[in-house]
Amino acid sequence: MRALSGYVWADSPLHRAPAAAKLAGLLVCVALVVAARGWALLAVCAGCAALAALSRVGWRRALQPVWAMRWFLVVILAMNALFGGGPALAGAGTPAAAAAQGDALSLGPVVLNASGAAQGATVVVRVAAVAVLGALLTATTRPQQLIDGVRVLLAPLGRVGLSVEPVALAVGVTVQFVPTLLRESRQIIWAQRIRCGDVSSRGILRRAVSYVRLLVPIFVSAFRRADELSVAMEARGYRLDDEPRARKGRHS
Amino acid sequence: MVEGEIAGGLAVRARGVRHSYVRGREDLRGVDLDVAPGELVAVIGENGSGKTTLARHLNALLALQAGSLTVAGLDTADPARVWELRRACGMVFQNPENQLVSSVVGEDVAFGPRNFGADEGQARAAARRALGEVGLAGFERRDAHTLSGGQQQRVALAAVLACEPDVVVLDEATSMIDPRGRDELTRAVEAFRCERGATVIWITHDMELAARADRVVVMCAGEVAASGAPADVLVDEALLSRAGLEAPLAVRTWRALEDAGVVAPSAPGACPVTTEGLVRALCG
Repeated sequence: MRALSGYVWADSPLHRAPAAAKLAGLLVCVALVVAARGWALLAVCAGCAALAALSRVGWRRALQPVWAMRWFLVVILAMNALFGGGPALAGAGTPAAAAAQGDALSLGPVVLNASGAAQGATVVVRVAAVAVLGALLTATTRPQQLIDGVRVLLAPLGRVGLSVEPVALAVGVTVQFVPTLLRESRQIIWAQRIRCGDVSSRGILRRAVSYVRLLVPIFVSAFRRADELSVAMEARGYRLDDEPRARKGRHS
Repeated sequence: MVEGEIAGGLAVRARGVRHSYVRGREDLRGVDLDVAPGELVAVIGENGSGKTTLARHLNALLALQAGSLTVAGLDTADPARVWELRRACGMVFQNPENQLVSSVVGEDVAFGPRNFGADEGQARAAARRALGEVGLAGFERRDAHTLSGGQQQRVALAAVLACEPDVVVLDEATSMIDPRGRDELTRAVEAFRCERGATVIWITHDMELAARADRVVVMCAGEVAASGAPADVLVDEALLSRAGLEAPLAVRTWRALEDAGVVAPSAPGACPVTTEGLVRALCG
């Protein structure tokens, strides 16, 4: 949970780097991860590992988001292995067709496709690498620095009329609100389990419908919290404009 | 107090404040309220009685629809001074988590001072000082989400104190935290009040807390139904019942002892309203 927002206090080159540079670096790294294939992708992953070591936040913290979405990654891999890897052949699912398509394994109606599995592994590695990069950014950048970084990066867009301040703050608040919303989601799941039974014990379709039902209370809760937060921020002097702040304050 | 002259020497002066969220229903129906500087006023009343609406008017979070309201010498209807007013009148809300702007405690507390014009060093110094005042010295680097509810609410209080307000409004600030958290927050409020002489308006359902205030204001259906010393207001069970409230435990215990003949019926104003007062009355 905290992987999505928890800053790790440490002294490392990544901690000392300006937030805007880290954000720009993240965008470049994500582009590399998406574009790279094969050995190039492995090299990018090695680069991610080097950054994780350099950050001194610990492997556990760096890999926390990957562990949190492990089942999602397993599903991606399985779906690609089962349904990916080139056009389906006539009679797919039969041992002959499986052999013709280069399938690694054929177990009755279930056919695992080798090229699909490779494609799935590529997607999984890409998603995991992006998650690790995101974790490194949030673990080495305090929320206020993150807001300032977004502000610096978007500053050129301010000259063409984009209101930079709300976007910068929205990024910071979103990152810090994730743990709260995740915890609330879990509470809603528990409440649903108490009243409707354990959704995880049902079939895939019914389980999917149950999870869709969770969306309404989660969204309602998110909007309510956002409303309360905006009132609290306003009470503490925040204003949605790019004007310089009051200079007549007691602190000045 | 603030730079401006304080109207009639009052920290809060409300006259005929009215508010409607929807047409045809009045949520505040002409509230008159005076609060002296340094006073601790408990505002009590059932849900929907208009307490939170009044609190939001004190911070100019709602636009004044009718009447006049001056807080720390500043007119809440004056848009030019709204930010000055928000610095002079801080608010602590009910849910501590929904007030966190940053997950890092020091950053969260420094948010207000930054907005009010402090530079980075000043904001951090103000945050450090305010955290010390609420008993959270050294918590600057802590993750706010790992703190207890009471600690989070003290962070929210520190966030308000860092802006050096003259008036602090606590809107049911203890309703979502456990008894220990409530005691921690109460002690913190008492400490800064003694140190700074700030005015505190504490909106609460907690009658034990109200019994410790300098004055109790009872709100009922958008109006001030009564205002006076706790010893006068909190023993008026008919008034409290009309306002959807019940008397503090000490008062109920004293009444039960009177009914059972264990103690003699008390003269007006002699009924204890706090646990300590009850013990003193029973043990001499």
